[in-house]
Amino acid sequence: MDQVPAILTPGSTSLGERLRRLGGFRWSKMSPLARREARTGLLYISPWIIGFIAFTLLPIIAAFVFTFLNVTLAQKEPLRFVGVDNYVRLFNDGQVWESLSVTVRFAALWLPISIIVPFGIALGLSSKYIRGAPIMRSLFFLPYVVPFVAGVLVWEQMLSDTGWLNNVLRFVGVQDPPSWLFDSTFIYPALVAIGIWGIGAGIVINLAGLRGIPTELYEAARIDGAGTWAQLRNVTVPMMSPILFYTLILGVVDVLQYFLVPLVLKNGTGEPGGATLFYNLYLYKTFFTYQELSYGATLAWLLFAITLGVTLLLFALSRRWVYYAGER
Amino acid sequence: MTQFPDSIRNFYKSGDGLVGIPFDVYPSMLWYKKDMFSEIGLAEPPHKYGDKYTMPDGTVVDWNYDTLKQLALLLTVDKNGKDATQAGFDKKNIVQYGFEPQRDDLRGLGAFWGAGSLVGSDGKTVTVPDAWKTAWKFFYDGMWGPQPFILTDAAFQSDKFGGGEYAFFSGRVAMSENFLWTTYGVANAGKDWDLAAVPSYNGTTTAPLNADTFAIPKNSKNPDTAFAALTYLIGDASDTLLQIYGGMPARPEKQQAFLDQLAKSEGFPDKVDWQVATDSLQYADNPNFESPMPQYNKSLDILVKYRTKWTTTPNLDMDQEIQKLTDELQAAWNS
Repeated sequence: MDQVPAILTPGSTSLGERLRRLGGFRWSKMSPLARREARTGLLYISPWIIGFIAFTLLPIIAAFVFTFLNVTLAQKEPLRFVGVDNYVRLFNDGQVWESLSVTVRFAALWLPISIIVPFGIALGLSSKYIRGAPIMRSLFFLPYVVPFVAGVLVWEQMLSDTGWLNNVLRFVGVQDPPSWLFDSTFIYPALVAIGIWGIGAGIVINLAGLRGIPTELYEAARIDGAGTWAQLRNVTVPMMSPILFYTLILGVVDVLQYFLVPLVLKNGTGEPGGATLFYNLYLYKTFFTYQELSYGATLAWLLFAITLGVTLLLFALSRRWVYYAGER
Repeated sequence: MTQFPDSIRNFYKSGDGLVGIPFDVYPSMLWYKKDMFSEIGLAEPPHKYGDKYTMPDGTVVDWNYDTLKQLALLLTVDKNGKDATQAGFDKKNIVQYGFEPQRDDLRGLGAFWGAGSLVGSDGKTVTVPDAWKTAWKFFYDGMWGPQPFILTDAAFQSDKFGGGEYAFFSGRVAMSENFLWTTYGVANAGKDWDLAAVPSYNGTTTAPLNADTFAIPKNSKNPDTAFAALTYLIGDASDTLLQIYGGMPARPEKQQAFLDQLAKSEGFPDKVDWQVATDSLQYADNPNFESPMPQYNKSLDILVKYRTKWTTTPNLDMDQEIQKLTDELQAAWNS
């Protein structure tokens, strides 16, 4: 009797069941027809598999191997095994910790804003008292579709000494407006301003989440005498917690990889005074400017370890505050 | 090689020997605004190297950085017309600055005080020349001291002073040290600028040099063919190439024609003492400030980091800052 692997059967149920069935996927026990079908399936997905192996898996393995070698672009010295020298160098490299500090300082400012602001705007847009919400939704999302580099260059002009921001400040009486892009005190607020401009996608995600909250919960809360603030605290936020958690995870990964804005804005120089030499930018410069491939690979693995560690920690903590309706 | 003067030949030498054939050069000079000097009755800076300067009270002094600073303070003016030496000078509202050094590279800034290199005699120890330390402190004090006369970064980036371009081009800076290639934008400074000798420091004058060259690497696979191509480039093709590069020919016999042509540039004053440019070649810095150093790109980034820190942060202890810079460079070179 031909055995069609259950994994390929339409209407398979839970992931656990599928994986269990996959465990029983034995080539030797399959009929010729099943094997032919399996080969056809593999053929269809082979481009992705080849691409994954060639452009993701092998480079990851190569990067790990590089961390134990002395690979540079010019390779003036013979290639040799250096043991953990690159890892020792990493821990003694002051710039690594300085760049991590830059990244963490920016994250401390940006992450709360990047989560709270889209949530707040989505709350406002979903209010029944707001007129023209569809138009406003489109306007909020519009910056997200502007080409990234073009947007950053426009912001560079807006934040310059004679840009519109400082002109507005002078108009309202601020005699000596900040040098947003050239003062280490104000560069992070400037970067946050550039980031906030592009939160359209976050607003859309939060809007979708808000629409998914059952209205009966609000009715029940109102019957129990809950006001607006109580409904927000006891219904909206818990029901939105999975969305907020999702944006937090993405935000953490994004900020640890923050790179393009300082590269475009400051040509990767880290000005002013190293305040924009984020970790990922330092990693990029190690690879492409200093051409130290092995050391760059080591930096990349440290970034991976930090990102993985922070993500696992957030997942562990999520049990305390993320509410998944229907699974409890 | 005998067709080139000693100063040029030596400029292209390093520890490994001749690194390239002299092709074109960009000497450095002091660019100044004549009207700003005449407005307050100051004598113009000397054009000839070795000449002295006559102060307003008639005393004759050496043309060095102490003298330059005294003039720069008088030439730095606030919106109320007070200069930096006067009581009530408003340093938050300066409309004209007395001096702008060549701030692209801390090494270049230091080289105007004395030729040198960050690389010690062993090839791997960071050694900041004393002249460079003095230059950097002069630079910092000029921006953040009680009597500022040099633009901070905020002023440098402001639209009033060129928006990040060389501030001398704004026409609001009385004196500036820079290389000959700045002729690309100096017409914006007005029609009253001229060239003067670079001041001396500790009795020695250094006018750093920028230059273009062609080189044949030691491990070149076809050195003879490369040499034939190089001979063509600096020989038959050199006139065409020099037009494209816009540099002053390294060959002395071609320099006057180049300067005559340059003098006809649109927007330039009728009379500029281009002889200063030729004379400055005798004071080229050797070793050149752009000499090789370990971890070159990383070292440049560290220098940029400290330059941008010093131009944006007041109240720094410059001795500590220079030590931190040294330590960071050394850590990079040791890695």
